[in-house]
Amino acid sequence: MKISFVLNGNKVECEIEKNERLLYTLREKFSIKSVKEGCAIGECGTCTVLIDNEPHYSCLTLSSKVNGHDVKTVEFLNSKNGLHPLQEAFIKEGAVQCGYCTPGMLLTAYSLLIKEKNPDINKIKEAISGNLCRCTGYKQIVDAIKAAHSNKNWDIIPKKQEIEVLKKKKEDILKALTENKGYKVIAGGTDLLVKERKEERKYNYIELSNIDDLNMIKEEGDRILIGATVTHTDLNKNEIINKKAKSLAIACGTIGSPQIRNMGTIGGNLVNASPAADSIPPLLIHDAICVLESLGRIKEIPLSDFIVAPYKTSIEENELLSCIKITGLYGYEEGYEKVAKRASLAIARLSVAWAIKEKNGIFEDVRLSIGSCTPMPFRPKDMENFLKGKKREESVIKEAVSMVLKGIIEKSGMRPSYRYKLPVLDGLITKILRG
Amino acid sequence: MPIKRYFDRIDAIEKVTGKALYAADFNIEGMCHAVLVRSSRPHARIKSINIKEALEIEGIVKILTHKDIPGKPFYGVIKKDQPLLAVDRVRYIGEPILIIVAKSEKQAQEAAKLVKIDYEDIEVIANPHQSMESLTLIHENGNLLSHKKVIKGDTEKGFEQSDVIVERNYRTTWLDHAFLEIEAGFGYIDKKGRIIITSSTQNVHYKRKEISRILNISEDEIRIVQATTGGGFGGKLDMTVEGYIALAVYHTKMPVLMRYSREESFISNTKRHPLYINYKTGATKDGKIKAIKVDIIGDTGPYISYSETVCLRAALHATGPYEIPNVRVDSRMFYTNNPVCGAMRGFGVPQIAFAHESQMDLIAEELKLDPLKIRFLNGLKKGSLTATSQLLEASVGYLSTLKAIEPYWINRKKKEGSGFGLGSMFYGMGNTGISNPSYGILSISEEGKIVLFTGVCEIGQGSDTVLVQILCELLDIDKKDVLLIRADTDLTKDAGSTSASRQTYISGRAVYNAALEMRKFLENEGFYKNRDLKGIINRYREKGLPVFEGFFDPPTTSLDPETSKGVPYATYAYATHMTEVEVNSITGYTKVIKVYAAHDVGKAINVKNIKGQIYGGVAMGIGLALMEEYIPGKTKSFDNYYIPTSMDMPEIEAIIVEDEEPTGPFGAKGVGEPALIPQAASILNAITDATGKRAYELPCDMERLKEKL
Repeated sequence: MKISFVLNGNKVECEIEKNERLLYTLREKFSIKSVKEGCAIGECGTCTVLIDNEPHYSCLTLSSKVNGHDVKTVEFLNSKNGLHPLQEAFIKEGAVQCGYCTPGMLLTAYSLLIKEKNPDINKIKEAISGNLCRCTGYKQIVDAIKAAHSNKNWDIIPKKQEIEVLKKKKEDILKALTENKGYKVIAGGTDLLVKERKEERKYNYIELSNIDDLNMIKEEGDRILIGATVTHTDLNKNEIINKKAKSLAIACGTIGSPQIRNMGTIGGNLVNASPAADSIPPLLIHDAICVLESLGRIKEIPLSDFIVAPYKTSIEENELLSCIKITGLYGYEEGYEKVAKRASLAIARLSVAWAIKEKNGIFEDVRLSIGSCTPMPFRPKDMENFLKGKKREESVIKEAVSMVLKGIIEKSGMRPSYRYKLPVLDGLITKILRG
Repeated sequence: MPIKRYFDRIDAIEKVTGKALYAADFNIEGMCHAVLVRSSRPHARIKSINIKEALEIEGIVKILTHKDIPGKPFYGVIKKDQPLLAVDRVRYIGEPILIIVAKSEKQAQEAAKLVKIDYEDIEVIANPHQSMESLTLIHENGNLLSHKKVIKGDTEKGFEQSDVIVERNYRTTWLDHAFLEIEAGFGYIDKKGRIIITSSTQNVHYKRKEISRILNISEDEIRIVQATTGGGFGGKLDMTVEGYIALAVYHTKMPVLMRYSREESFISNTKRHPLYINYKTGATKDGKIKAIKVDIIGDTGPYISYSETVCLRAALHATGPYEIPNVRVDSRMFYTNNPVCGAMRGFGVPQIAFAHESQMDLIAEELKLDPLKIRFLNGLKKGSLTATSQLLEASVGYLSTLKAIEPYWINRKKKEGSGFGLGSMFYGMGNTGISNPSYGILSISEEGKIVLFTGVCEIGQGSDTVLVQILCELLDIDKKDVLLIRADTDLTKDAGSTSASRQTYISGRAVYNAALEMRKFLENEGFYKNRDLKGIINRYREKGLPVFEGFFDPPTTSLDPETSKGVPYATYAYATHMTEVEVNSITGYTKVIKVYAAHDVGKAINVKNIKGQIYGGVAMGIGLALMEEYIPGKTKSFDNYYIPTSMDMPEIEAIIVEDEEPTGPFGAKGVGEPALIPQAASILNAITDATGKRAYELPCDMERLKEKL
């Protein structure tokens, strides 16, 4: 197919092959070699580009997705009058060693600085946490970004150029899914494109970007509707979600890296159905319902029934997960704990989402959901029922925790990993229930 | 001599603008792509290879086997034991068997999938202990690769004189360099019929030698040029893609590019050696270490690579930076069918530092001594004798690194869940007990520039900058007046590898020596009066401009084969790190909060570069201590090999200590590997301080630690 997009400020067009990735398009069709391959599975950041000024991994971006969008590579910073202040700061602070991560790092930093006037060190570290560097220990990179901000010579926010492209409609997708059973719906690609590489196969993708009615968050009565292509970043930042489903906002902020969160979608996360998916535990405590659409038919099914086994859902080939409906919770204390081996770009070894409503030391309602432990994230309903109306005290908490642990062993037997996971869960749930 | 210590990297502009070309970025008209077919078995005889279907793929140019090697089929940096392409047997998963050359990379990959190899499995030697006992031999001459000994004094007597004895077992695992630029290179035949190869490498001259042997052509017929190289850490010292490219170019006469995928890089790149260390320390009541006895057993994989060096270096550094009168170290490396282990930042010393620093804290604990105090008591100083009975005469800044850390140590404040730990190290600069010279050559170009020719490979650590800086300093010129010609076998002399923290010290001194000569010449020619280089060029037009060659080879001696007595290194770097951690008692997750890192670098030539090395070393040390673990057969890529991200990094205070080394340029030594070596040790000691529990196995990740809590 033919795509047109804005590349470093210029409108360009090119012919792409099926399943072609942006990393390949940029390197091979536009000879932009500053975009590097470091792993090709979205785990290192050397291929980072900006799409509509937000960092993305070009190795996991289908080129068809940037049709009509604005793409920037480090060449955008290279002006005729010399170096960009950010590039100068990188040199001055010693932020460059082998240089292989540098173009991606600069782009991520640039994206941060056009949004945040005065980011603190933690914000900077978080922003670049999806760009690995093996040489510098990141210190001088962080210093450079900090110094570049204080340089007053630049604060021009680049215009986001857009090209009119034909918007796709949900109906077109439904039609296509009915007509051709071989299609694989892709909504982000951060799992599917990795799988494609690992399995050395090619899928026949149908892509969900640029469909407005799938990309929305809105309230309908006491329900919140989340479109399937809403990204993790959107959920992390959205006001409604932060107010009424805080645990979901927090959990989505822990997924992968900033780039992964800009690319990955809630719909994709659910259909991928990983036992370690971060979004699922909080969705479960919000009684999420999956809306599955096929031509002329809409079906609603609870998330707990939608996922039938690890990496397996009940979705039919002609169906599209178009939207997730959740219940907003009021007057609850909510949270999400992720246990992982490192601070960013990590899969949950264990996770717990919770929402607790308490009045005068009495549990009114406790919702708990555990991920990365059993074949599917689950809510220990017996414990939740047990706690209703109980006093918030040690003996009650102890009993509640042991119910959960017993339930897990009953569910999936004693697994080797439980040697670690059960004592950790014991500690985590105790801490959560104590408040 | 005072020097200007701030000097921006000379390669930074091309890197921040994205213009720097790494090997895989090159594209030559008509270029072919080569991929390797690798063994799927750890240990097997190859019964048959069927390439019929592969040959039918469109675009296939050639499929090469070991039979197509015109010269010697084995290579290796220390001994030539590794087959370029497997002959009839494979000894590790990922061992190259065939090269497929095709018009496109995709076609070559498709063909690779269609090659059918029939194997007959042989007993897999999974660890060095099995290797010792098994009758299955990985090589004809047995499964023991190397046994190095360090003997000084009488350890039995030393233990008798000791009031406390602490003996523990330590274990480390495989690590990957995880440089961000994956191995790549390309080659072609030039108009004169010579083979030209540009690759991502730490050593161009060594690679030329290997290719000359493999192709059975003279070294003059080969030119190796280093491309911009995106990190090495020891992983680009051995041949990676170069031999395959050379063979492909030789047979096809076409330009060929080869780049590994990250998965291939993981499966094929040499690893840090897993070491099993038994360490026994004896000390008197007043805290003096009287004796150590150390047994090191290493898993080297099936080929030597740098393993003999690692075996010896670990042994020579087993004392740590302490003067110990009675020493016995036995260091042995055994062949296995695990990944080939080789050079990785520190050559075995980060592993042994974990052991000797844990031992220091254990002894201190037994004697109720402060960990800093026991290090002061035993630390190497001017006049000390090392384990090889080398007299340390100058530049022994170890105690100064302790002094630099002392105020932070005294003022440390423990909070709930937090802990503080120390880690110290010493590290010999340059190759071990052998000559390892370097050259720096200077001339003047027609255009009026000072030209520096150096064989040194810049891999990101900053040698280009430091060498030019040394030159500018001595000649009192600006970097824009310098033209650097680097790491090209046609134009430069062998500077030795970029390894062993040796380039600033050794090549820096060679450039320094050349610059001194040139300075004299320029002074005589009146350059410093009128700065008229063009005038000098004109005056010398007829007879030709002089060339100035600087040379340096650090004074070492070979070591006694039974005791290692001798001078393995001309000088040593010293360092102490202090680390604060916070341990989550529920999850076992350790967060590194703050690191103070004091390094005796001799003389700081480029402060920013040194600090950059220290920060990067701290990061790698955090990986080694807490998360990095290559599991053969399981680890495939970055999704299950975790290296620290920005959010895993603590605050770091890099403290530069200067105890000048008389033989170094301006007094400088090296810092590349020292930056990493004490970090993991200090984290492990901090974890013990925080939890009361001690871990003896790396990485001490959350699951291993939780088990102890």
